[in-house]
Amino acid sequence: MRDWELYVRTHLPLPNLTRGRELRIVQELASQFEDFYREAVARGMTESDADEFARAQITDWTSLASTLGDVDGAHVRSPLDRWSERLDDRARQKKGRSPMDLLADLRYAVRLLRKAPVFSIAAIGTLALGIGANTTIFSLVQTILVHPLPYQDPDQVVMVWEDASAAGFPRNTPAPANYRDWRAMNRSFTDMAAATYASANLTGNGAPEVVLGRRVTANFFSVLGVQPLLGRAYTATDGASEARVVVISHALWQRRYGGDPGIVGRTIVMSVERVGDVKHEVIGVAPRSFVFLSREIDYWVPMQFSPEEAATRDSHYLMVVARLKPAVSIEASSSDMRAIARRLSEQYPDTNRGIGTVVVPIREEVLGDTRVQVIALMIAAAAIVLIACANLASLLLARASVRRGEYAVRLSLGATRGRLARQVLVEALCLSAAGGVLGLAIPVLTTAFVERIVPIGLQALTVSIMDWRLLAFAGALSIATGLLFSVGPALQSAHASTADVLQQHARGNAGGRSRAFRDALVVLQVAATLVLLVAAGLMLRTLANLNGVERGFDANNLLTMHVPPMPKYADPIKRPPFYERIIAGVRALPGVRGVAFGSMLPFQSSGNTRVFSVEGRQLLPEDLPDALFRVGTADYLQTLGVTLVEGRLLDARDGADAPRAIVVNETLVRRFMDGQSALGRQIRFGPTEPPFTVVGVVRDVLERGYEQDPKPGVYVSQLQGPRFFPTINLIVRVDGDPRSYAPAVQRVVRQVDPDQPIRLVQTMTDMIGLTVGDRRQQTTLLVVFGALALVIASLGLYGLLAQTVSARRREIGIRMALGATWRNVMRMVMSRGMVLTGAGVGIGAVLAWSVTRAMETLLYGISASDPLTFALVVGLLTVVSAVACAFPAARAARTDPMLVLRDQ
Amino acid sequence: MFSAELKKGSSEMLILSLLEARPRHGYEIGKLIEARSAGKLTFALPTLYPTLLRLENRGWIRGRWVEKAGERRRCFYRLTAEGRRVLTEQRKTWEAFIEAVQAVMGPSHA
Repeated sequence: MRDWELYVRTHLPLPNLTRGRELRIVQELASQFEDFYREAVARGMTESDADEFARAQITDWTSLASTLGDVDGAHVRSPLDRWSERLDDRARQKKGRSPMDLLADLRYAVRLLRKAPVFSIAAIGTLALGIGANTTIFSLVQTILVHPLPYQDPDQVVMVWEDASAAGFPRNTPAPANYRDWRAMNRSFTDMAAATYASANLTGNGAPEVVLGRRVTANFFSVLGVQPLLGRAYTATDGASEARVVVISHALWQRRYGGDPGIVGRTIVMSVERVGDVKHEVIGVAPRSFVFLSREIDYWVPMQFSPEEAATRDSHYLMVVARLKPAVSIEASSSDMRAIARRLSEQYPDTNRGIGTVVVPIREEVLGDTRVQVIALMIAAAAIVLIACANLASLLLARASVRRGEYAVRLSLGATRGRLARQVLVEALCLSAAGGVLGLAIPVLTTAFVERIVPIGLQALTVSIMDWRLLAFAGALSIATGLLFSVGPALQSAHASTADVLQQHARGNAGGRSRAFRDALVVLQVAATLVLLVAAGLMLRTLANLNGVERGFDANNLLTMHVPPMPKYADPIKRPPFYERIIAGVRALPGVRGVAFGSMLPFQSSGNTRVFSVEGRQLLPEDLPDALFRVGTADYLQTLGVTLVEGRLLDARDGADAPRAIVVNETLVRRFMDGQSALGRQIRFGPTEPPFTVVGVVRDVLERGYEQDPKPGVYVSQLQGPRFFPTINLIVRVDGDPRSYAPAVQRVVRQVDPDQPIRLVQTMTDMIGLTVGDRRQQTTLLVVFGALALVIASLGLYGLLAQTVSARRREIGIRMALGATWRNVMRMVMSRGMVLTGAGVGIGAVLAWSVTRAMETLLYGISASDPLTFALVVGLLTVVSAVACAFPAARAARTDPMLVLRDQ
Repeated sequence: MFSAELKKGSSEMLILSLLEARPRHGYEIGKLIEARSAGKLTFALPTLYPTLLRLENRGWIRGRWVEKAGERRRCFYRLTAEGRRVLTEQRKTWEAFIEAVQAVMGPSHA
């Protein structure tokens, strides 16, 4: 190619135009000369004749120059322009850059991206997903791992539990007398407080609302080191006097009292069970971030132990929290408490035999498993971003190799390599900035979804775009991803050489370094995809296992709701008719198969037990076992859908005057009936209570949920059972979707008593689902990530092979001309792709092996290295990869060797 | 074949009309004029190119460097909205002019 630009420059005495204008004119005239030259050659002229022909197009350069000067008067360089151009020159000589360049790069980058809308949208979309997912996880990490608990010196705060492992309760709620002794006898804690659950019905200021609260010892807030937002916490006198005081939560204050600044000193009416309506004076509002073991607590009242309560060691229901003395370690306090427990068990063998203590830092109490889950999520999200980056890098590399000709020309025109590389960088940063901004939408959208992962003992997840930390993180991540996936292409652009331009067909392999880089990227993508898919597969199978576990009752088509007894029904005479009316009303609804009330539904509690003895089996009082104790109305067991093994279930026969009947589960029979039939045997729950006679045996019901081993369990009728197991859960077995019956059932309850609060209306499957809820979120996320990764990785593989094929057309054409069949060509292309896949699978399998080990605690019924899951995932990846390889391979095989060879 | 004065009056209109159909580059425009007029109208490079620039400065056409696949980089010119408007006007003027001239010189009636 003749250097027409040089020719034009030397001949055309251009007036003082701006450099850009000058360049434009020069380039355009040069282009025209080239056209004329080629026209002449095409017409058959010799090269030198054609050259002369072209040059003859312009003879009077001076006149042309003056005409151009007249025409382009507007573009004459002003002194300002000349000065800035001198600056540019100087900067360029020093290998620096001027700000003008950066702007030009930016404009160029935006233009380039607009020219390839499909690529840009796909890239930005992928980045948005990756960056958005990571930003969400970041908020999660902030809330769960980083944010301190809302107590003073939270690492000094511990929970103290009774260790009743022998009875199946490794962390048992302590009894009041034990608590008082612990408090008196310990040397490790500055103070110890206790709390227990409470609930009340709030009237006034809105619809009746059942709220959950805590009865706490007066030192509760001071042990935690928490100052109320408004008002004050308790003093010792509050507990002692008759006046009822209450501290309410920030959420309740906002929700029900509109954030009234004058709330302190106001009196609110709380309807407390077994007592009735009581006026309480609000003395304080807890800080917004305050939470202690449960987000749902709305009030705290001082707890009063009556003398009998204070002395009881039989009733275990407290939560005990303590603050370590400054120089005391957890281990020291543990052994201190163990010694105390030993002393108590010697002093009170009847109640405290075999009961120890366990000290748990509150952080561990609240976080538990979550740390593992969150880390798993972080890894998954990071993997996605990496895969997206790898894909984009690959695509950019492909584009860069196509533009090497352009780079070479620009290098020859004076651009520096740094400048070229910088331009690629700017392009990448544009993409990732757009992706980052778009990605900010994701945390906001998924907050409700992700919030379920936050353990209930921590404050709620707050995701606000206005949070500077979030923005900073998203920003940093965008820049990092931009840099990451532009490295390869930038390096490549800087290595373009002028020599390449002379070659008409640059070889697509683009040098060993670039090829190896792209191959490595694909291998990495495949490996990361495998890890994600294996994790997802393991979680899916865990969920399936959990679902398949024999629960002992029929959880489908069961509607449940919480109908807490109001004080007006505290009298046991009044309660049964109340239930009967509701049961009758609900049973009359069309589609209802069964109605009943129960004290505790399966999966609701791992406790609620009573000590029992079997007649005929003589045991020392201290060896008495306890059984899960469940009370229900007449058809409770039938409505629940338990499986009868022997005898009969309880029913309407078992009224208040009938012989006391009891149904037991298989575990009880197995352990305590010595291989004989249980029917007819007598069971006692205390020396003074009349015994029950066993009338039936049922298969074990998973009363305690999935994680815990079955305990002996018993069922008695509400009319024969003790008062302190109120039957507050309503269950309704229906045809079809239980949710659709909820409004009708609630109407029936309201008709019986309009003031009756109803809570927690949900289907049984939902309730069970909540216990696996954590896992389900994880699994869904992993499956989504895995699928995304699979798509991206296979696209990456496809893209790589497609580019290779198109770049090696000549080689393929030659091979085919020399006798290669389409089969050979296909095999050649596919083998490259499958080799990469194989390498990725190998690396991925090793990675997955170690990563899934960390997930062990989340799995159920399956090992972390389950071969079937691994095999299935490897199979899936292989098939998908093969498909991704097949397309370019097929295209390669269809190459027409003649077309290729002719194209010299 | 035609004198410079004659050509000068219409050169701008010719260029605009050629760009009406689609964007073209300078060399193409010159060749097209020659071809369509069967060689009777020719515009040399020193005349054509400044005219293109002039039209561009007036905002009637706009030039853009385009790199098509497999081809060299070329500056393509396209008609702007303003240019379209001007073209329509110029056409009307030209037709009116022709009509007037012909009316004056018209076939003599006996």
